[in-house]
Amino acid sequence: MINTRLLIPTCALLLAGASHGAYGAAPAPLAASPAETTGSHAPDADARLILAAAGTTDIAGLPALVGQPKIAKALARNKILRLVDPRQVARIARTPEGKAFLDTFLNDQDWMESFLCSGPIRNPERSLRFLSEIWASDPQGVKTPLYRELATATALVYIPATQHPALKAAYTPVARYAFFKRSHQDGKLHPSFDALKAWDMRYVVASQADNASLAWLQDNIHIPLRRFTSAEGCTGYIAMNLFGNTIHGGGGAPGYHGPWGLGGQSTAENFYRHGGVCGTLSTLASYVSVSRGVPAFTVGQTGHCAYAVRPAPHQWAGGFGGPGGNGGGIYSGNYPTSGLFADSIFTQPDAVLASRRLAWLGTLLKDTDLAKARAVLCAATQAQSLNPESWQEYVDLLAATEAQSPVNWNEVLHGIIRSDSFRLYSGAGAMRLFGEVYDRAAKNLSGEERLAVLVEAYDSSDRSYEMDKYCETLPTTELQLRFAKGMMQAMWKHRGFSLACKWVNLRYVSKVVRGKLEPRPGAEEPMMEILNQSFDSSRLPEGLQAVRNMSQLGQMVTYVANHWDHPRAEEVMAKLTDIKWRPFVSEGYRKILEANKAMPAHPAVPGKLLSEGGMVCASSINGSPDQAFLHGAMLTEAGGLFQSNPQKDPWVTVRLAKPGNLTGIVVAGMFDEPRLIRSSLPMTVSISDDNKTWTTVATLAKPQPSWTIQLEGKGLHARYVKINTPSNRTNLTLRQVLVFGTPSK
Amino acid sequence: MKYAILPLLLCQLSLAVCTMAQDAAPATAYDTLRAKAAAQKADLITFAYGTSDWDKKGGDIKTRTVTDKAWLAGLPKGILSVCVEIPDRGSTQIPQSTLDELRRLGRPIPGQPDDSDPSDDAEQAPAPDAPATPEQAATPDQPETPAVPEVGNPPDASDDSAPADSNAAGGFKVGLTWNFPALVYQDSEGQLIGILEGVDLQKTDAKALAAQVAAWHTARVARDAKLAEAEKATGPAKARLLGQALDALPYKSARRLRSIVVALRDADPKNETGYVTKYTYVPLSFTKEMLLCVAAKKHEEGLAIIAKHRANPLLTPEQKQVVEVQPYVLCRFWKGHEAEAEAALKTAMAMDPTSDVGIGCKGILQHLAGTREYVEQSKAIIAAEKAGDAQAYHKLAQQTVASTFHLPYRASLRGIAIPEFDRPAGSLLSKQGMLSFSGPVNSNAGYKLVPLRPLVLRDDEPGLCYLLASSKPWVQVDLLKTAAITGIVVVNRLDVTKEKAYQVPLVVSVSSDGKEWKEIYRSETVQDCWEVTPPAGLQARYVRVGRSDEPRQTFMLANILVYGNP
Repeated sequence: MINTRLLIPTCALLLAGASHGAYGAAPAPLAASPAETTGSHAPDADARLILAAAGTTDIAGLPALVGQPKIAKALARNKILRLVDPRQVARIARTPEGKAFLDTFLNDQDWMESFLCSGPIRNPERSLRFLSEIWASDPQGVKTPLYRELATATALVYIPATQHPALKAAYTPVARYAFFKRSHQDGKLHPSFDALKAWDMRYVVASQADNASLAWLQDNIHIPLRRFTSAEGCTGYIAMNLFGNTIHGGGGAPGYHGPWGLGGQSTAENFYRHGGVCGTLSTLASYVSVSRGVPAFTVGQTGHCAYAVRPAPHQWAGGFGGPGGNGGGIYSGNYPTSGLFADSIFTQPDAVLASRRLAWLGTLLKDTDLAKARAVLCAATQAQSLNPESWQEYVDLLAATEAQSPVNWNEVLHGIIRSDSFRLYSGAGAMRLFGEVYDRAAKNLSGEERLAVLVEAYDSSDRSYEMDKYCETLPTTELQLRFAKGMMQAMWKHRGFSLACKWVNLRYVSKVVRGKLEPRPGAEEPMMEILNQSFDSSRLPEGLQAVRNMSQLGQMVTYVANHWDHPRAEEVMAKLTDIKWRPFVSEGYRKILEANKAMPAHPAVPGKLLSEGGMVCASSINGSPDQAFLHGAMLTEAGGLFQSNPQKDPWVTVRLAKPGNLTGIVVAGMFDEPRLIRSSLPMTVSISDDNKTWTTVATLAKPQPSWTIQLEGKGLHARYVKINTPSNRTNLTLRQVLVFGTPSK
Repeated sequence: MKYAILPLLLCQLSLAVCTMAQDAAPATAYDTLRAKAAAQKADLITFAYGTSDWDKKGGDIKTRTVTDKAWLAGLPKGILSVCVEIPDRGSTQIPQSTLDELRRLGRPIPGQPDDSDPSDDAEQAPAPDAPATPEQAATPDQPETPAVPEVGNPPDASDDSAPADSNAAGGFKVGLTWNFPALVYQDSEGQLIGILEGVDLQKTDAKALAAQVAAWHTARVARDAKLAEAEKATGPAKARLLGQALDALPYKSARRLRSIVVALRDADPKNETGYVTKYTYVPLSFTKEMLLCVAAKKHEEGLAIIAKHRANPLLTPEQKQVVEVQPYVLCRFWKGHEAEAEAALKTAMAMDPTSDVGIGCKGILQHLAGTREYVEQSKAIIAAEKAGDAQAYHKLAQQTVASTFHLPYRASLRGIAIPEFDRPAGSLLSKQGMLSFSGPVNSNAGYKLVPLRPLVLRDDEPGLCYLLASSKPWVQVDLLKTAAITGIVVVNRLDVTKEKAYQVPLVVSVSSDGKEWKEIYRSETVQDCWEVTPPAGLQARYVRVGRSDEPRQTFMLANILVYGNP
């Protein structure tokens, strides 16, 4: 999205008649060439005209000024001649056709603006050359509006697939243009092709499919438009060919399609006849769309390839599990956001022009009137607040001129946060721009101010990206935790809550649990509050969304158990392990709960059940087959499940809901799996009032489904009960720990 | 080719199509005829074709019965016939802006009646009834009474709630073919007997089409006769009859008859008849057998399996060819047997060079030959560099330029050409020169990069000279004799990003004797292409491009082009 080339030739250089001595070539004649070839429309003449007009117009009048045909044409021409290396313009002008092209193109305001306003131009020199070649091949055809759009799109994005002398001819931009023009004239394209403009034709002509492949598809795959998103089904998903080769080749043999490929070019026919895996199938399916002139491209996902098809603006549809992931659209970022972003920008052509014309003017004004230049570029961002190119140019100008005049970056930052592109499509580049400006702005902001900006930013966007990076810019743990809390609250509003939940979990919970991170001093307080609020019963629908991932919930449960001395720990734990989360308890856990129903009944023990509602803390948690979620259930008559990692001297401590005088303890092992009972033995059962000094009350050495330790009349008072297995390396597995007694008053 | 194909096709076939009553029940002609075919044990022909993508009529799901009596008269008895139009806008709502644009452009609006072109209707009007033949009069879809009252099914095109594929064209499975128009022949149970689709169908004239339909009909009848016989048999005898029943059909259709294939396998679990292989093996099945042997290092067993398949006379020609490929799969990594692998490919290719398998064999043989040639060429290039044999060097360079063999490095140069530069006066002197370098060149890619090296001196396409990290690296061009140099163009390696910076500070020096060097150019900026204008009247024989410092990275250039007058 950044096109630094825009800023390289300064106005001063342009006005002085651009010197390019640094290139080592004879500068004088070359620099003069564009002026010679383009006659009165040399960049400096245009610049003079524009600057003179702009100098006498106040800011409010500039939007109208840049809309005047004479000024608009001068702006576009000036922009193109600044964008393209003058020597390239001179080269094109050397041939009569090239000169005629430049005379036509550089006097056609609509065409120049379509060239400039159809998305970023990655290689201006190449694009201008391609356009001149296409024009020379078909000057009459390019007069037709649709074919002019086709020529422009081809020039902007087409990349010849090969430079091989023998194959080159089939891959020229002229051949590409001619192919789609002929296809259109032959009625082979979908009628919606007629409505495409250069910007969305980019998706068609940029396809890697060679023309012969597209022609083959036109003849051999005829499917209705709505089947375009399942076109991968036209061939088979096959991982290995009959020669035993996979897509990765190997052993000096050609890859999967190699035996039928010509010089490494895989054709549509080859893909269709022999199938392949997701990459091949998605590629073929995108070719099917493109062969009918319908925008499409492949999308890379993690471990999978898919594709996106666009039957009409704002209607990105996915094939083979797409869109999602990254792909070859106009702007960077994830699909379909990025595709929709481009659609939203370019389906407002008037706004695009208003914004871009102002941006070009602003860049020109830089050296004559900096304040005005800034104001005009700012206006450009307001004329279409979606437009990433105008935003980028504005920020680039501010950064380049900061030394001359201070910049209120905080204000710019808030402008970005309030822009449509940030609110709606932050994933498609605006977040990156935000980052760029935030880095500049943060230097002059206090911690509180930074926090306010970040929370506002995340609150107004739909994303939860890069939270770690921004969290790190906050100077204190307290601020970082407030950031986390702000994130969680912001995320409740959006569907992305589980992302925030995951992030908080990763940053503050799992690392602590895994011992990879020292607990942050004071971290429990906000963490408990976050969890307390997040899992409030009034938020069941969002909560259910948030706890889809049981292992995350388990980590939170573990975190709370590890901080059971915190005054809110019990309250939070009760919410986390609330029965209402059970719908998400997977089949495996259901089976555990089901199996507990067969638990042998224990002999009656006098007193009340003190353990129920208590908490469980352990030396380690295996996580499978147990889950932190089920540990609390172990303290109830229904039973749960706990298993430690295989480790030295595993232990589990129960903190009773209420301390009291104990009358008995029931311990049940894996009654249905004797191997796990034996591995847990011998078990020592100890009690304590302070979780520090322990009194052993029993040692269980003989394998049996459950043990009942009668303690009535022994006068033992306790809050904690611990069970451990002295061993070099073993799992401690339990289904139930019940503690009975008389609660203390 | 136009896509308003159905009218053309129908004209070609002398068919007329009768559009059904629009107010009929929502059941469709296809479904109704399908049910009717099942009830009456009749076969069903379906014409299926896409409409609104390409057809000006656009949009609606349509089904019609074919009632052209002349054509039906040419068919065997007991065949029902229906046309299915496959819609395209089932789940896509076209935005107003697009509709406006289409209207502005005067294009038909998909999903809406097109008043502008009544000619299509004329084409689809029923043709004057031809007298039915006595046989045809007895067929179940008897067109003696007015056309079978099967229904049209034009749903509201704007109804987005309809699932994309459900009941499209009345239960006709669009996935049956990916290429419309298509002519589908199904038996009374809906089993596919034959299909003719896309350009194949368009190429087939009415007479040939009728003959094809008759042939499918005969095949279906023959199949059923054998199936009836098989009912009474058991074991391999039954399997043989089931196999013969399948043999009656086109091979691809036969493979799809799962119920018969399963019955065949059950009747002959040991594959005594050989039919199980014929109808359950795809090409990959043979390959998998071989790979299991390779993995278990039981190559001899693999050979025995191949021998067994060779002895099976029932296999299709394609299967036989695939069997001959198997020694390649088995032997290619089997030490001492590599030659057998290549021989197998030659044998298999000779069986039918035009089949998919034959073309694949040819491709692998070319690849193997290309790899060998590439290695030989690389060795020759290295030898020419050592000997300083410029003539041989450039002959080899031309060989590289002309080669269409898949060069791994060339493939990565998508869209990369020598950047445009202003060609200096004089001729390209380096094209006859000799290349040498200061230190070791990249060899970790084997010989993969070597054939690109002589291209450095030519302006055809980017080459590559790749020096490993060394002190003061340089690449030298020896013009063989002193010449007046008018310009030097140095092209950076362009298929990389980070590594582009490894070439600066770039220094160009010249010498007449290879001993005394004079620096004529220095650049600190990373560029795609450095255009060096030497001092006027420069005479030199050697040109060196390199770095004067001690970089810790590689040094890579695509081209060094020296221009001048000898």
